[in-house]
Amino acid sequence: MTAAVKSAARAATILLVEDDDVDAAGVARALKKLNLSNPLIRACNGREGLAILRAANGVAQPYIILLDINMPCMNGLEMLGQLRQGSALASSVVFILTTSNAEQDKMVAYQHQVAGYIVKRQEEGGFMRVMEMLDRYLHVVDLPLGT
Amino acid sequence: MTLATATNRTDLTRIMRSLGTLLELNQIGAWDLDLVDQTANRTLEHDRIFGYVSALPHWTYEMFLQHVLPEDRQAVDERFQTAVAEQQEWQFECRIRRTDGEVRWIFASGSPQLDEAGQVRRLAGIVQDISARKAAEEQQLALLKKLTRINEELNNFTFVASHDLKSPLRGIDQLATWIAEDLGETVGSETREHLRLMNNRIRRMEMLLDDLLRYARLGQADNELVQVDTAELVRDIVDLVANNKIVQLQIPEPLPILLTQKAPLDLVLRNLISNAIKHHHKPECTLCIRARALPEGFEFSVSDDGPGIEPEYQQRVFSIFQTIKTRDQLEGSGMGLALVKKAVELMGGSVSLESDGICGCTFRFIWPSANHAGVVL
Repeated sequence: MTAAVKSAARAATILLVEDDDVDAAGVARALKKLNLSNPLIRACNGREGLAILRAANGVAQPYIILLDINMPCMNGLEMLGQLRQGSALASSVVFILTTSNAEQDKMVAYQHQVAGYIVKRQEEGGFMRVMEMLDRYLHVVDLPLGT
Repeated sequence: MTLATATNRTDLTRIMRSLGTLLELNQIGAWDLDLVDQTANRTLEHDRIFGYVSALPHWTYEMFLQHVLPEDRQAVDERFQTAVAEQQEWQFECRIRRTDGEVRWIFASGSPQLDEAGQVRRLAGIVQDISARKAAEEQQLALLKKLTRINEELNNFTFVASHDLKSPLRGIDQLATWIAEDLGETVGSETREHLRLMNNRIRRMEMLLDDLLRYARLGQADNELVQVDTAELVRDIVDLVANNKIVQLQIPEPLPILLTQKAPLDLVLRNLISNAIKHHHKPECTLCIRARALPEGFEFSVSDDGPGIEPEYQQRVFSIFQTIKTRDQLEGSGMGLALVKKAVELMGGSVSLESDGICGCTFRFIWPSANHAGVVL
């Protein structure tokens, strides 16, 4: 049973909510270079992200959300607020992945129970380091599997 | 001889005449209002101010009030009543409509004169057309408003531009890295060199934008006042920016402990010190930091024994994006001294530079301080 959960967790889906194509490609590239098999789904803004999560076939659990902040239509913090209000999606595990280094953004994000706030930094290994960390995180941490 | 010491009628007449000339030359009207019989003596200039070509046969307080614009009338009248009731000066500025219809600004002032019973019997004073001064003041205010708005827009623009330009730059950076990664060892030496140059330009642009952003943000946040041990600050900065140069730091006299905002002072000293080290032409450099107490704060000086700055360039170094050497010889955003100047001037100080362009240079800046006497330990 434990083994089954672990193997499921390893294949957790990543829902990437990111408006910049290059950054999205960066995440995909890092996954590929690290030989990770996690399915990657991309939304271009908060509204698209919510639509994907709320669709009838939704996103299969387990999943984590990688959420940018500055995006058109609905930004990441707005999407996060909506997630935490609704009961079905309130348990989603969310990492913020943004260029915003603003203290205010960090505070709001953690008030909404994000698992981590990551500032995109090219010079520190960029997306490789982020995806390495997430892979290790998914090996150690159990995600909710739903009912 | 004064009015008080005049003893005969001839003296009095002469004094009155010269007073009249004085008033006329300055275009000041004089008036004297009798509160009991409601009459008023005026000079010709007084009536002219209200638009009359020659003196009117009579004048009353009511006639005056009719000239005052309706929106100013109540305030002027209230002041008049208070002045009479409390035996005070009556002083005001207001707008009047002259008899020819033109609206003018006037200034008037009068003092109560008491009768034997100690009651205010008369009010006497002067009146002056101040329209020109008012117009100038208004123009100045409008200009100031315009300037403030333009400055705000510029600041905003700099902030938005530097912030929004960073995002596509990050994309370019990312893509350049991937191209280099994917080409790997197969790439020729020329392409490799081009990739290196491209990377270098990306870094440079990043630095320019970061410094521009820093420049725009300067002064937007007021930092709290803290105790700053400037000697410690200077040593920390030198340790941090020395890189692989040998720096002889000289602090011949004690440096003060200041109660000030730390971030801008750190920025100023850091830029001056790192400039001195970075631009030094020998592997070993000597830096001398001094501070001198002034009534308004402290004058700091940062001297080095580097190549100096030629007099013809000295005016330019404080402008944004100015570098002495091309950026390929010595990497720099050209914002350092502009940042220094802005930070110092925001604090109400000033910065200057002395150098013969041959041997060394000295930057001096005045840092106003909350405890401006400072504490010298």
